[in-house]
Amino acid sequence: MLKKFRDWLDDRTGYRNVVRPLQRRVLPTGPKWGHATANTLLWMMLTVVITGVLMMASYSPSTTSAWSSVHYIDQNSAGAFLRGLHFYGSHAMIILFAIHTLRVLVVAAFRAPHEIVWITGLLLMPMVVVWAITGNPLSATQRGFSQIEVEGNIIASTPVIGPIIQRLLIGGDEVGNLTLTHLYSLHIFVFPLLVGLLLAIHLHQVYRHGLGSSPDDGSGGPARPYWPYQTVRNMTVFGITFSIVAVLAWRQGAPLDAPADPDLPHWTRPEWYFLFLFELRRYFGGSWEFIATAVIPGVALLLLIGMPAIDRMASKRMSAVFRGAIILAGVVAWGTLTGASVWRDWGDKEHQSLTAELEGHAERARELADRDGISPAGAISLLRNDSQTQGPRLFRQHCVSCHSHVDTNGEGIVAEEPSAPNLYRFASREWLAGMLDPEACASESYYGNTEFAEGDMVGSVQDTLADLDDDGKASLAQLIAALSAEAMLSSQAALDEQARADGTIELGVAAMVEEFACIECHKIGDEGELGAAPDLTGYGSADWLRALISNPEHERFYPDTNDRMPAFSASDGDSSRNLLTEHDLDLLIRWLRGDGEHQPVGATSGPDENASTEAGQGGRGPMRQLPTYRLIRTRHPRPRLMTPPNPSPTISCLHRSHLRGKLCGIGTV
Amino acid sequence: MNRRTLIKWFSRAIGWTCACIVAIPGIRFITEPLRRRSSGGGITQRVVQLANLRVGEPVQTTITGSRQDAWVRYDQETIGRVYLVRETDDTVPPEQSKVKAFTAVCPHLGCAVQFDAGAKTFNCPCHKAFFELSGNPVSDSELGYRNPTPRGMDSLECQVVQEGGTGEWWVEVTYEKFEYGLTTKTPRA
Repeated sequence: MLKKFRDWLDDRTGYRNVVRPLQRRVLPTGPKWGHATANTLLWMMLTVVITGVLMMASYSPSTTSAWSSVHYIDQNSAGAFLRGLHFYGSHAMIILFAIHTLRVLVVAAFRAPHEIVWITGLLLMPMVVVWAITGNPLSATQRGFSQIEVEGNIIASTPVIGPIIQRLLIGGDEVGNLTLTHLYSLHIFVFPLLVGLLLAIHLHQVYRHGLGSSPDDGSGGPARPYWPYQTVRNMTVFGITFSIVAVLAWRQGAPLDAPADPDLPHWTRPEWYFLFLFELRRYFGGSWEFIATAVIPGVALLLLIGMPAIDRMASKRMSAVFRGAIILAGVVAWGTLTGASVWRDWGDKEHQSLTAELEGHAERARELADRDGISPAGAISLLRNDSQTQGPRLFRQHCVSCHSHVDTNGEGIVAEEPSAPNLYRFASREWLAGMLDPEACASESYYGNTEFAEGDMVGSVQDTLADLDDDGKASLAQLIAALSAEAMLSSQAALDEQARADGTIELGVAAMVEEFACIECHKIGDEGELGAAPDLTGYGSADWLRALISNPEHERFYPDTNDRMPAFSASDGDSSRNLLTEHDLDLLIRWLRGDGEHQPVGATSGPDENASTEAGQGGRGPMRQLPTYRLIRTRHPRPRLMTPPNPSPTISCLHRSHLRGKLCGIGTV
Repeated sequence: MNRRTLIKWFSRAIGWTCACIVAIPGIRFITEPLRRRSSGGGITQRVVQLANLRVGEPVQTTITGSRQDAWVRYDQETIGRVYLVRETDDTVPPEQSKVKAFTAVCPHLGCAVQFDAGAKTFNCPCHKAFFELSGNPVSDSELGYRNPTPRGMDSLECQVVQEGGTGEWWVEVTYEKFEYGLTTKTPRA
């Protein structure tokens, strides 16, 4: 049956005339392991092409969707594996290509009649590398976008045509949607086509003239058929290479950095195979950089292309010496430059902390995408709306010139010259306990380096709280509990709830009003007057912080006694005139308070929760009991939420009420 | 088995193994939509106040919810449209009043059904299917040609409920999606 079909097919197409000679190919000097790299390269290219075509089914090239769609591929374990094969396979291709070229050079397989094999091979090499490079930015990661930006500028440094090519490639001045669509069409169509054409010529020439092992390299054996004697060698080498790639793809997966965002620091390293150019560039300053990036590689390529001619002119011995020198120079130059670049980064603390920061962002972005999904605004909004990411950034930008944010182990954001209180867990019980401690109060963690070091507050703390008896200490603890409850910190919700239930807070407020007479200067609730000292009503709450940071000289805070704190958001409604936008202010406050964004039930993240409050009392108990939401889910077009006092999560809840509904429904009802 | 046969099989084994390691995840990857369950069924929402419905005047309302479109999550989007047909007037107390709900998609091939206020029929512009206010297909004889719809409009579970706080009477609909083209109403898997 099958035989009949084959006969029919052959009769109509004559395919056997094409296939038979391939099947019955004979290697005049026998099979060699050395031939296997080229074949492995071919199979690896096929693997990369197939996995690439599969991924095309779920990839979308635009700045809003590229990262999300790649992450979507990764969320499917089969997809993540395919992407890993594609990624590591492309790296393997480049390594195999280098080995293949070196081998051809060593055995002088470029000799007549293999000149065209050699030249097409050499042209394929940079083409495959560029093909690989056009793929890197497609996931629209910070790393990928930084790379294409730099690569574009490298191209632009070529005189005359450089800037034109750059503009065409990038699609304008800035990396964006057009860059992605351009790179995508290059990556999936133009380069495969060009590589395919060159490869067809290359393979046709190999077939026509035989594998280019020259008989004079002395390793020739008796003639053997290609199949299966060479095939088994090819398959063994390919099998091993493929296993390594597959294991990496399975265990490691292809990396996915943070979504590209101009606000994030730039990633400044190329792929490993281009590090040598990166290093070489350092030695050519300014407008001479193109010598490193275009002239030197171009000359090297031309020299290699000229090898068959050089070989013919020189004596056998001279040619061998020359080839040896080229190989040695090439390997040593590449190795030294790459090594120098790696070595430099090894010792560069700044680069390492930047790398670590970006990796942290990448991890966080993936975590948020898995948890909450990605909004139509795209993956860039994941980190932009994440207080855990933006809080430290904003704090470093605006606050660290005076304030530190350092935990008890000294970890955190350290001000070089702290001249204002450490804001780590501001308004929490332990923070307040420190501020109301006669010694700590005047230390640099609180008022030590401010004008208030000599002020009434420090004075009265040192006078009245220095020698408390046991009753006094108990009252002070109640005061602290009551004042801290004003902040409504989510990390203290359980403690606050408990204190409210057992009357501690009532006693604490009474202590503020009567025993310690805070209201002589401060206002709390209806007691006391504004003007002399900050309002303690809602002390440390999101609203209180927003008002204070917006304008510390507001009458609620320091109308006459503000030390140096700027008004970050004084002009209402016109954020262009403010140091901090509403959005940034909100993120900063959320981070300071450890509120988190859309904290799902049962999540344990949040930077500030490990500080134990009143050691032992809270113990390992419900450190971070989240507010219990009750959701009327099935009764109204827009599910409504009822929340307990803590107001800030409500906003975010409404925002994502539907998702919330599911989570809350499971978790608390 | 001689050496030649052995290495033939060895070569084939490696080749096919590698091919499978690519092909199996490849197939799994592209067939993922087949394994993903649609989240169509069973969203219950209050859509409109009873007082806003008149007998014989169907009202179209939307069902909102979040929708995951591959890599994008849409919050509070319109995920479906529903026609409400009030069948009893104000003489009937609200708790006994009857309201019918239909999905606003044609059971034939899923086009959006429109209401023709003049003819008091629902009609589907795609293949000229017509439905009565009760949701039943208009008969072929009345239409003058074969009504292309295989079944009547898909009714949804619907009840009139009182809101706790305000005491207002609301129509509550449980939204579901159904397979097209079948003669019986079958929830989509």
